Amino acid sequence: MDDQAKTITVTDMEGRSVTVKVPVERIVLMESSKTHELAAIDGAAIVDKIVGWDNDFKDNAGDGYVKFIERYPKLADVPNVGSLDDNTFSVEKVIALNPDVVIMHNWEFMWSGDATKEALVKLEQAGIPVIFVDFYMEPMTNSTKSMLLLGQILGKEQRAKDIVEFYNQHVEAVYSRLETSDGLKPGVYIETGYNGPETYGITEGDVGWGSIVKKAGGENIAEPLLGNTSKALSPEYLINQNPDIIILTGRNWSTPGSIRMGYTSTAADTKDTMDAYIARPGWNTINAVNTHQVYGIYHGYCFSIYNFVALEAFAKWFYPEEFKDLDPNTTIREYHEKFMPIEYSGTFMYRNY
Amino acid sequence: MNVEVKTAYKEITGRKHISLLLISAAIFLTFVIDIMTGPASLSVSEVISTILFPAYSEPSVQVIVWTFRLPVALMAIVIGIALGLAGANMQTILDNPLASPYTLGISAAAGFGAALAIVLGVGVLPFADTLFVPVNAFVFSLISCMAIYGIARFKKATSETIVLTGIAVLFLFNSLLGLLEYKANPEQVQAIVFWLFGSLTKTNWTTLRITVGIVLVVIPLLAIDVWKLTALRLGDDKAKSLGVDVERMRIKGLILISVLTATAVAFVGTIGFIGLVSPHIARMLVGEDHRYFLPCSALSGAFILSTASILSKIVVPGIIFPIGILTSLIGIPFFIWLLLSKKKGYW
Repeated sequence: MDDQAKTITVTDMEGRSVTVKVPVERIVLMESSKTHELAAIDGAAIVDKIVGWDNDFKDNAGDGYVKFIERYPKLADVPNVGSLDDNTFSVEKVIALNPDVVIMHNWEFMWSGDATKEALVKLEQAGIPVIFVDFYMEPMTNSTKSMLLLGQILGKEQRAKDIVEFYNQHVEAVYSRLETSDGLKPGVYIETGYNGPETYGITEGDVGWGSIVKKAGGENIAEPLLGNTSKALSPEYLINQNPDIIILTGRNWSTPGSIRMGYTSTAADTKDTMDAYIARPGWNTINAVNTHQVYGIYHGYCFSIYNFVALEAFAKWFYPEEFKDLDPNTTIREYHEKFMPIEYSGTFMYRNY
Repeated sequence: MNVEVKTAYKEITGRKHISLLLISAAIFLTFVIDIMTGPASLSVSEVISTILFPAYSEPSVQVIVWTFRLPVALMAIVIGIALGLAGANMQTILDNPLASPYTLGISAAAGFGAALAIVLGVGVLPFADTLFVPVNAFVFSLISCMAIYGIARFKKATSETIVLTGIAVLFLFNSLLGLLEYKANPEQVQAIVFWLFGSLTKTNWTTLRITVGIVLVVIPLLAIDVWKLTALRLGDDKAKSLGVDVERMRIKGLILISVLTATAVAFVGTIGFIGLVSPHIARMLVGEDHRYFLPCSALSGAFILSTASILSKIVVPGIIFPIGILTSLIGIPFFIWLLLSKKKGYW
């Protein structure tokens, strides 16, 4: 550590003070689908900086993974260091990769608390700094803070500020209009379209998707039951609540019948899978279905910097009059043109007519 | 036969008839409570009028009663019957009080089949659709049953060999399942875990009809053997000397058991405990005579699952609660109480 000028101390999203050598050149990225966020800040250069990651990008967010690999085939060779979630995380492998920083998501403390603490101690002993980001606990406020933090360690503070400014402009435009709107809050049901139509997927109380629904001015019908947990509702409860709006989230999951959305899905794929959900027993009695207000949203918009697009989309769906001139599709396209090294393609939002 | 023996016989069978009648009445009661229970607070008259005159009721009430509550309440009873019968038959043909589709790995195999389908997904197999999961569960439970029997037969089909093979199968499929969960991503794991705990909420009239159909086919196949099965409880040698083809009974039994278990697992997931406990309750109530033992075990299973169905809706109203957790949680204290209150051993 003789090069004092290049060393800074930052406060991460767990409130820890971490000293890192900047700009970081060798990164081990846990929750590897955060490549989206890193690439927005650092552009194509990030491809050479990620020296290790977990399987999250490939397994859980594969449409984006495919998109990135197409453009940067090199990424396919990034070694897998395992995951804390299933006890496959290999500290030894991380040390061997000699990274300047390990980037983790602070939900690891929720899901794999002890394993995470143990790994932290070992990495500290090896002199490898760990930075925690957060796009989950408080998605609409901590996502931008996390971006600024990443900007700091990547030595791209201005770029991160530009992204955050873009984000804030869009978010604040929604908030300010929601404040003046005195419309009745629509009842909203949002379900992760992962299980296929036969089995009801999880829905969230005031966390994750649920919190975005609330921020966009919707009345989340699951919140009174779930608080801030996530579980599956009983079909009867849903029918009885009779929501005005239903939102199903989609991605390119492997489960039979799951809602298909994302970079690699067409509107026809989305329609086919959504239609099967809409044909669920009893759904023909729900307001949302009868007024054609069943929507699809890309699952990758939650727990990521893209959540502002979901906020825009929800606000538009909940209050079509107030947000008549707003087009979230333009927003996401513009975001890709401005900040992303990959192109915008596929289906991210959908309405069933 | 003299008069006294005849009177005594009549008295004993009379008591058995009363037991069957009482438990049937109890099932009717739980069935009624089951269709009255749910997150939408419907009045008794609303439910009854919707059942009797569906066309005249509000669409949402009609959907709640006819699409959700009735098939689920009926499915609880039918699956209870299927698991009760499977357990009773299994304990008899294997001459072992520990036998049940769950303890011998048939449910585990079916669960593994389901999990495999969840993890493999549509991408891998071109013909796969949403029926893929139940069908796979079915295939694997048949495979496990055949494996248990095949291996046992390869040596010599004593009941101990079969039970030990079954336990080996249980561990094998549990490990394979663990391996799958290890490889799966968090969302898949959640789907698998939920599936494994079992839930009646996926029931619709089609799966109910299929299940009823299968149970109705199996019942007469078991019914014609009630005397042979009763003889089998005296031991293999005695049964053989009475002219029972013991080995044939075992093959037939295992096939019927796997059909019943696979159907249950395929449509509602793995619900443990009922197959193990119902026969014990039945044995305490009506003894070993299979003319009474088999129906009583079926009815006990129906009663337990129907009760669990009600409780699963009361525990956390509005949220899907895996019923498999409840059958064990409420069933085990009840079962232990029964065991302890019984004065003499009954196996």
